[in-house]
Amino acid sequence: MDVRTRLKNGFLLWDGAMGTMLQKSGVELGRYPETLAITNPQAIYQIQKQYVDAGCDVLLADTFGCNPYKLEGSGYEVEQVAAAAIAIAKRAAEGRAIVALDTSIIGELLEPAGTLKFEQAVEIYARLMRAGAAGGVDMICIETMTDLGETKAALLAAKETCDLPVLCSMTFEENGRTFTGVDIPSMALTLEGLGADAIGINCSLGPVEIEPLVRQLLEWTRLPVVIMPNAGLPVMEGDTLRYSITQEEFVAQMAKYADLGVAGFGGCCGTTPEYIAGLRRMLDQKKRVVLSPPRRSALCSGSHTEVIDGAKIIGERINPTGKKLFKQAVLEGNYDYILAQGVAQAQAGAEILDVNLGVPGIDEAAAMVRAVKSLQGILSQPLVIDSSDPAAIEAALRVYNGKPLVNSVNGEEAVLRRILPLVKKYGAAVIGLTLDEKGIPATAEERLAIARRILARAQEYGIPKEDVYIDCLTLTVSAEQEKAPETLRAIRLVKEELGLKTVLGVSNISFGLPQRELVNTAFLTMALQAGLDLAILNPNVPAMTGAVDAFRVITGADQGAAAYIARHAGAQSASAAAPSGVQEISAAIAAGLREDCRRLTRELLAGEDALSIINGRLIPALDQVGSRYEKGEIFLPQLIQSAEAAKEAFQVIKEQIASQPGQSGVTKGKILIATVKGDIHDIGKNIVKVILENYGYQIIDLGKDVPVETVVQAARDEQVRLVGLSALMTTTVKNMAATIQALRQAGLGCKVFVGGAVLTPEFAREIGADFYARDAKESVDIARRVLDEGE
Amino acid sequence: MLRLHIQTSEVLRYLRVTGQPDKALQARVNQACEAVCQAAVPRYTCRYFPLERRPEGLCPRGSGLVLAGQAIAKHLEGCDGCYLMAATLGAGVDRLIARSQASDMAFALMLDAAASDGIEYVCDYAEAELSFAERQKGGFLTGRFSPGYGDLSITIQKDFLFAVDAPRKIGLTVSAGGILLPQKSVTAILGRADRPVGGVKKGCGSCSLREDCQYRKDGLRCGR
Repeated sequence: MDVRTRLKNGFLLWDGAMGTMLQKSGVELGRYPETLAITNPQAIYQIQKQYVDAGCDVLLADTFGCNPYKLEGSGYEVEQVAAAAIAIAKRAAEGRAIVALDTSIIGELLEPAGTLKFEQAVEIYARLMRAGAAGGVDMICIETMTDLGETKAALLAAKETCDLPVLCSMTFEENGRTFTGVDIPSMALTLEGLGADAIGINCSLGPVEIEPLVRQLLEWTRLPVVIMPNAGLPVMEGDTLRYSITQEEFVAQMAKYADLGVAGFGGCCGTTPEYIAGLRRMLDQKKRVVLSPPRRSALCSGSHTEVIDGAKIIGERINPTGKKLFKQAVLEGNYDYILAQGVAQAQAGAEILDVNLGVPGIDEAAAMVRAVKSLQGILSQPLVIDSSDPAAIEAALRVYNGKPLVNSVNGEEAVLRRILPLVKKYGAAVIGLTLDEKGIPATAEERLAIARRILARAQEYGIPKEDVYIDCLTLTVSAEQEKAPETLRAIRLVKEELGLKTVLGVSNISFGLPQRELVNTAFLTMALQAGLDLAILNPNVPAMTGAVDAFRVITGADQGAAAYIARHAGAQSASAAAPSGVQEISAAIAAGLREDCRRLTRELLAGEDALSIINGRLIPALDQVGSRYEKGEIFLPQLIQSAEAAKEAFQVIKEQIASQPGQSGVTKGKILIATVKGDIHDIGKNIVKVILENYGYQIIDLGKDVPVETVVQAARDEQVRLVGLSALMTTTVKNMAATIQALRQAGLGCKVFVGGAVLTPEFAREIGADFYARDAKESVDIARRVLDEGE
Repeated sequence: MLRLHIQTSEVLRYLRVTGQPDKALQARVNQACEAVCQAAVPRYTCRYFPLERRPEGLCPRGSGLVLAGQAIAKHLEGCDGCYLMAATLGAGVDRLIARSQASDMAFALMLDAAASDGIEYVCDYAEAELSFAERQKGGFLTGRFSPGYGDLSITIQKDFLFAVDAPRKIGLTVSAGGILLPQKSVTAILGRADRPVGGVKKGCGSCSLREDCQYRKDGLRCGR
């Protein structure tokens, strides 16, 4: 009987610990424990044979740490170690147990927290899995994982290199999260969607501590659940580490899990063949319980699951339509705007964020990937991948950490055929627009028919009903007034007849009318009453989120109106605070008052032109702040606050210019900045960016861990006269030297300034830099000398 | 879970604020400290190794590490063993700082400073725990000495982390460029002996940046 079938209907028993068994038998694990398969195969064989004799069904080959990162410097390659380990396991199994390839964390963090790229991680795992398939393993076990993105990389690698069944198991702390903040629902939703054959929890905790997590996992997945706890918690007894729970206690607790519906059992650190033998005896007396947990509509990020069980808000602001500055920012590679919008919408109450990078003339797939990676690096809200470009959708789906929503498919066959397989492969949910090649149908019944067709096609591809969201489309009421009630009726029909979740962008309804907010909030409320689940709107408009808050009170979703009261009681939020009475822009900048800077700049623009405001008021105000900083009267935080306030003033000016055709920009020159290859410290660089931007320079920020070639290429393309490089480590500063050298060799004629804790003026000179910036303020002086005075 | 205690005076020092901070700044710094305490999941792990003295350097036996250079040799003078310690505030703090950079850079700087003090607190706590346990057995510890100090190369980080199984035990890794990740993390070596040992005292005297250090020039220090 094959593994998948056995897991579905019966029990499967894994082996126990290897590491602690080796230590017990006096074997030194050393720096490269993986290579014991070659240097001491007998030790491994002895232990594995004992597990087989104890009655395990699955034997894990000793390939746990078999990856290039861990093996670097050992003198062995992944393929050698894997082949040896698998051979030992097969010998020990003697056909009585199946042999599984075992793998775990690579040992390096994935971007953006680290420098390991997602595709690099996939390839690292793929290499091991190819070796596993070549060695003839029957199954792949990805275990003791802590990062959901890394687990996804491993699972994709498995599915893309072979056809073997895959177990994905993560390790949790007692607070119910992994080291990187993954919780059980997010793990279950994501890995089940990606096609794991079994899902589990192992290591870190003992069988008793793990109970709440086991119960929760059984609630959240229909996949077979596999549990492999430690033999209790580690306890230091003198100089040795012992595990706290006996074999009897271990087995007794695991017996509970057999009754609860767990399918797979095993032991992690501290367990021995006796534990496995005990589990064997226990399982032989038990009957497998197969559960049917509820089907849920839910989306998740790597650390947070949003169950769609009532009205939720999708923030719509990360979308270039009608936003000239947004388009400009994307074209310039400036993603700060996107990140700021993401943070602002999340703070305003959006539970989910729509991400659309559809700007003509750009590589949308690359832009979408960059946006998704940046946003998911800082926010825990699930994302909606919004694009009409299948390549962009696919690229984003691949790197997305969690279960996203794809916006969208529609009734057109070609679109369904192109996009639905991607949705299925990456375990996403999908929005179906009720239109097709004939356009948007007039009646609710016709839209329902399209929805029915979309659902049927989705199900043919194996996408479950709870992952299909229908958008009945909002037309402009001023142009097609009779259509508005049709949309609302369509929502009701879709919910009643098809039982699907619904989604709708409401802002379109009021296009062309005055006081749009009034129409939007009324329409939103009516749609929610008709059964709308996901409302796509601008959460920065208090009336819109307010309407949702009120709806939740009236429907009882917000018990005791607790959330409503918390948000709306008392004074206005900070952004709508009473005016501070500051009348002078230099005072607003000095005090770091952002709102006042916006207001005062708007007032000034009524009577003065942009350049005169910048050069006559903003820059002198910043200079004053800068000089007080140099004198030690104020400090870096206040300098930054003033710069950020000035940034608001600049923003207002830019918006004004963008709305007037034919106006050239107000930049005083371009500066390219980057944190060099291998380095990810960027707070210093970002502070320099904020300050330089507010002195009127246009900053092109290449980000962190930037390859030498990328800096040279960008310097060439943008024709910059000044490049700023940051590095914080003695190990990465050599890349700074390499970058400078490459810039010189390219003959670009730009000046280079450098900064970072590891640098000194002497060292900066040594590596060929033109200037050393001691701090952010000094970078302004350098920029002036080079760009304003032509040094 | 270990609860962090962050000293606002230290945070202000990291921010290079001298004299009395104004009320607004003080309030924001307090907020930053609280935010870091909420986001942090402090973890640490320590492992003891007997020391072997070889021509190439000091080797914690069974770790595969070679601690080379004069500085660490001086630090571990008189010691028969050492503890390798690794500590982190967790990935949540990195995300908090990164998120704040998107909307409020000044606050991000304060969070960064608060987190720097936070990880020092975790190290102090772990060191105190080790020291107490050693004293019970009649042993003494030096202070902490980290890879990258003096002439102890920072390139040993990867092997150091594997020696204490840090990636698995506390989720601490190192990038290809030698950066500990999560960023608010520390690795350190403490020497152990049968009689009181000083180790290399923390301070400017042993630091390789002492000639150029801006803190020093301003009359401040970078560490506690």
